[in-house]
Amino acid sequence: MPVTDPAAVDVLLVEDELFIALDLQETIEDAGFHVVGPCATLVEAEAAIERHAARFAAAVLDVRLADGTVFPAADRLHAAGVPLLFHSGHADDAALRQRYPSATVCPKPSAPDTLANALRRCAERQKAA
Amino acid sequence: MRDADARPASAMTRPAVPVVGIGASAGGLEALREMLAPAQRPTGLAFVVVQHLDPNHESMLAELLDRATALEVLQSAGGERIEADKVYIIPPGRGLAIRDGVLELTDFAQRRGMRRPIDDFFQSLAGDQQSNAACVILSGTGADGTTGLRAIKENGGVAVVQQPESARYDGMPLSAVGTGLIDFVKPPGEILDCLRGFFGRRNSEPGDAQAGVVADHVDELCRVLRNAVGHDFSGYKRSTLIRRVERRMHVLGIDTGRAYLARVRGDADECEALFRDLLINVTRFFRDAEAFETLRKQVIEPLLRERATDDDLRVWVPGCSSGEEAYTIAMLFAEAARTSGQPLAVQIFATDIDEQMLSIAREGNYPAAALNDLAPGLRERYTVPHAERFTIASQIRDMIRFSSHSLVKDPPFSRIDLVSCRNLLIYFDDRLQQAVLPLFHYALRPGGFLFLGPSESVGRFEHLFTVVDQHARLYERAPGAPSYPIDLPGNSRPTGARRERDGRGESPALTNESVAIRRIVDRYAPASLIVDQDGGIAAAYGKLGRYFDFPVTRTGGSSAVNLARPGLRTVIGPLLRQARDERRRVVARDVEVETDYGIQPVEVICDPLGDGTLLFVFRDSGAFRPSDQGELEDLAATDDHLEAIEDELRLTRHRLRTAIEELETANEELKSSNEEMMSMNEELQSTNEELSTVNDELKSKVEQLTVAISDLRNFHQSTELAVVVLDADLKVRSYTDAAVSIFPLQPADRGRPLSDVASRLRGSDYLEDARAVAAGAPATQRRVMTRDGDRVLSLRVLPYRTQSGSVDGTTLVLTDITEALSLERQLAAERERLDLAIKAAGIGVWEYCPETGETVLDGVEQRLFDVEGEEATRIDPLLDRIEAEDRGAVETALRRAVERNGDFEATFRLRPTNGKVRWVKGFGRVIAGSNPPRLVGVSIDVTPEYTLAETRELMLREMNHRVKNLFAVIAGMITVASRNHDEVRPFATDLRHRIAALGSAHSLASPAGQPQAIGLDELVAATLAPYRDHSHITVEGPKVALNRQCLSSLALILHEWATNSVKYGALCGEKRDGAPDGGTGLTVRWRVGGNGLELDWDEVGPGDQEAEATQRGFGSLLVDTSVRQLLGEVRSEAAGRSFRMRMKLPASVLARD
Repeated sequence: MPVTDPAAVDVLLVEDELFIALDLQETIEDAGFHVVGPCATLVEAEAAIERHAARFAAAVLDVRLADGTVFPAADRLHAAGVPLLFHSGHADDAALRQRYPSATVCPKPSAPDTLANALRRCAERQKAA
Repeated sequence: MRDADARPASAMTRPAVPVVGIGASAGGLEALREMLAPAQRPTGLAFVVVQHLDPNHESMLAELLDRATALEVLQSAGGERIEADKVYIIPPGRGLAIRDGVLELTDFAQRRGMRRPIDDFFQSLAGDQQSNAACVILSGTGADGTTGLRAIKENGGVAVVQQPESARYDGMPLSAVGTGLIDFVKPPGEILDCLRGFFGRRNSEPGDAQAGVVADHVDELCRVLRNAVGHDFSGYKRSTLIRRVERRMHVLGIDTGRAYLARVRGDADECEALFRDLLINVTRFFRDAEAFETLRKQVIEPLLRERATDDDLRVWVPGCSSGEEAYTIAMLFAEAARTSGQPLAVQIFATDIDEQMLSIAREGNYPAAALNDLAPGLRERYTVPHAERFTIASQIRDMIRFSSHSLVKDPPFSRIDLVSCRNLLIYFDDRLQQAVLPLFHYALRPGGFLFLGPSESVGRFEHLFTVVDQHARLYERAPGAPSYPIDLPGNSRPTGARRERDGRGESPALTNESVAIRRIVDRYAPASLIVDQDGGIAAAYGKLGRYFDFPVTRTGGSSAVNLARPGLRTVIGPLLRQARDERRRVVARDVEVETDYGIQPVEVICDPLGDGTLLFVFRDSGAFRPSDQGELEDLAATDDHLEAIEDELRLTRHRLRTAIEELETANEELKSSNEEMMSMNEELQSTNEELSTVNDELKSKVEQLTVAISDLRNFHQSTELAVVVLDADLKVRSYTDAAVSIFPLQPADRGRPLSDVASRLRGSDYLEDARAVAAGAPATQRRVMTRDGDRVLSLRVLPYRTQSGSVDGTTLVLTDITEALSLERQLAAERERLDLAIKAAGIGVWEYCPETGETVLDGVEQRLFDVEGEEATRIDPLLDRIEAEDRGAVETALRRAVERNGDFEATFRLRPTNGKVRWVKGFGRVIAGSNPPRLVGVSIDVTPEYTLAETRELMLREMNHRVKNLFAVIAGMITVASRNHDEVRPFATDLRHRIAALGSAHSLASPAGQPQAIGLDELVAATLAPYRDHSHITVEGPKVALNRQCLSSLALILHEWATNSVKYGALCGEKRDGAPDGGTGLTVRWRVGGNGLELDWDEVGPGDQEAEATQRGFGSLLVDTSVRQLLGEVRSEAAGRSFRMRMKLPASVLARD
């Protein structure tokens, strides 16, 4: 594997449900990315962002976490220009789209292909930017 | 006439609308109807009706007349400008006047019964409209209108009277006809045509041409008149004559002077009418008050002061007409005498040729209106008021002699101190004026005064009269011998006629001739004497001193017989009688007149002059013989007898005169009594008229009353109200039939005190009430019961008010309210229940009027909206309380309910000033038939229901999420498991079990999704339930509620452990009963400490545990992941057959509550 910029392959995964996180991790890695996380809580997620200086190819986020919503972290990522991919069974699309117009929303549960495709699109967009 | 019409309108000034004043009284309505009914517009006339009306009653006259005529009829309110084809009616209680063509209402100065509204109006009409005025006198009693009619005529108007025979009451018409001034006497139906004809002729004729035509015939007319009436008008002013003749022609409808002349020639009545018209003049008391003031200062007072003791002052008022001028002068003299304290020795001769006027003057009886011309002092002292007329006091009346005398025809009076001849000369032409003035000069004694009217003067006779006061037209006779105007201006008819032929230039010559004749008479002719038929000396010429004893006056009542000297005295009597009786000249020759100095033989001729007077001429027939004593005695003896007879005659005459005077006095008294009677009659009649008018109205009122009484009786009999009317003494006045059930009243009880009447009421408070109210207390109301207690009645005691508003008794009104009361009680109970229900349900009640925005809220509603006091009465503060988002919907719903008259329903949020948002549901409905529409409705607090629904929604979302999550978990499990399984079958089996475990754990959560706690024990029991028979299972621990979030993880952990146990541990085989030590078993224990939950899973398996423990691949991953998920930690211990799992979980797994 050629050495690449970690920021080009790192994907932040925030998901409090571990089984789902495992599943997602596999899907993401199958798509050729490297997973940072999974982070089950907002605190973990923010620590990860801090650690990576918010340099990610994309971020896959669950909305509701055990210690609150993911939005503070999402805001930070959004500000840093990281493409966001929400994976949630909760929040309605409308609210999310309003808050993050450029974000992708994959309703839970999503087929792995759908997720992988969405992720690639995000990464490409990031790369282009 | 057609030519006149054809002329362009601009060429002629439009004649003013003639105003017809109509006077009517009793029977007048009928006459008015008849008169106005034939009217067809345009009449070109305006009408003003003056009717005697009762001042206290509204008049229906206008209404009644309006129906009868095509003309517009309206009751005058004052201020109307007179217009053609309108009939103005006098309003009741007011007089009517007209000024500049505008009607004015006046207040009566006289008290009722003495008012003469017709006279008043006619006088004002005459003054305002002059010849444009007409008066019509219709049916009525009394004489109102007669005086006014004179005024109309004086100003050139026309007078019409209803034919007395056609009038219901002929008093007024007859009185009017009696003046002789009436132009037309017609039945009412013809009056209008007649007036239209008159004014039509007048307005259409070109005045100048007609004047010419008439002027051609004036001389001839005068001649005819002189022959017929004996008065010569040829010296009168032409313009006046022509105007008055023309008026007569209009009256008669005669177009040409010639035709009129013919008429006058052949018609003695017309002669009389023309004569009267020509003589009409205007006079009044103190006419030109300033001039009279001058007269008083300059003439009357000096005259009285300088009067010789024995002489009476003599005043002559020629052309006195109805006497006002003469009375005015008499009053001035009387007043001057009174103030200066001098005796009133004044004799006034007032003369006129019109007997009718003279008789008015003699009566000295004038309408009260004329009193205004007199100063108050004079009025008080010199008039005697009667009803609406007054008479001149007798002291004034006695100063004046009224006699028929023509200034131009009859010999003048002489030795006069003052001649007052006002406004007579203006009617005379130049020639006549110039003849009359020397006559005044003759009549006046030197230094006497002449008083003329304001537009008259002495002309060129300044040598005869010197001016005293030019402004007042007061002149003094210049000294100089009086020259007797032998040729009186209108003396002998032939000379008069000749004079006219000779022309006016002759006048000075005539005067000279009369001077010459006078001179001849005085100096050269024998002495002569004119006496009347009784021997009174009328005039004397020449030196009569030899034949008569002085003093001899030229005029006066001295008897020629008495004054004659002895000798002559015996002759004159018989001579006079013979000449008078035989109407021939008689001569007595050789009459010896005895004087103090001797005897003069004379010849006395007595020559009857034809007009009743006789001329005595004395001619000396011999030389004067001086007297001697002897002869004197003889003759005296013979004379004695005659003298005695003459004395006796004188005595007898004296007695006769006394008797006559007494008779006259008696007559005078009778006249004045008669007058009073007449005036009383007048008063009574006018009262009677008013009474008959009132009577008619009363009749109709009686009819109305009859109906009203019958209504009242029916009401009394049919009403269910028990009403008793009491008078001030609480005696029964009337009662309704329904009242009998409470007060057993009989018809005979009317007038009995109510306290004497038994009553079915308990107590007698009602009497106290009645007494109080009758005494002026306000109305009372109380409840009373019948004695048996069956009925409850409402008793109202009201003051009985008379029409004037005073209290005269009371009215008791009893209403049976037994049923009403029970109904009221029922209603109260119903209401109470309803209130209770509403209160219990926490329902707020409101009422709202959209038009005014007013609201009424009950307490609950007020609390609901969190408003109080003033705020609760307006809709706006209430709407403010509603959440802004919901407000529009509420307003729309309200509006729609009002528009569609339908129901209102809305659910909305309220945000009270303090407190939480509340959900409220409101229902309302427009009150049927309310105007303006009102809504009434209720509001219900539905906050709990809404909270519940919200919660449910939340739950549903949560469940949804959870299910999705579950799918994701399962998907994850599949992914993870697939890494550890190579074979599909065991993979599927494992997965199915896990999913089942998840499912059973999930089933613990209430299907409804209530957030109820799930006990750890339940979860454990559910997980181990399939293996209950596998081994001895002990479950111990306190009751612990779990956080729902952790349920799946915990269930998976327990499931994994249980599955492992089934495969390798305690749950793998059958229970080994009876071997407690060596037997297998599972114990699950948990504790709750400060750090959370500690759960121990202890099992004793059938074999060694260690080996198997390492092989737990996928299962342990699952458990680790789950524990990590729960933020807990797990340790496993294996020793021989026993296997222990220790799990520490943080407090977050426990349900918070």
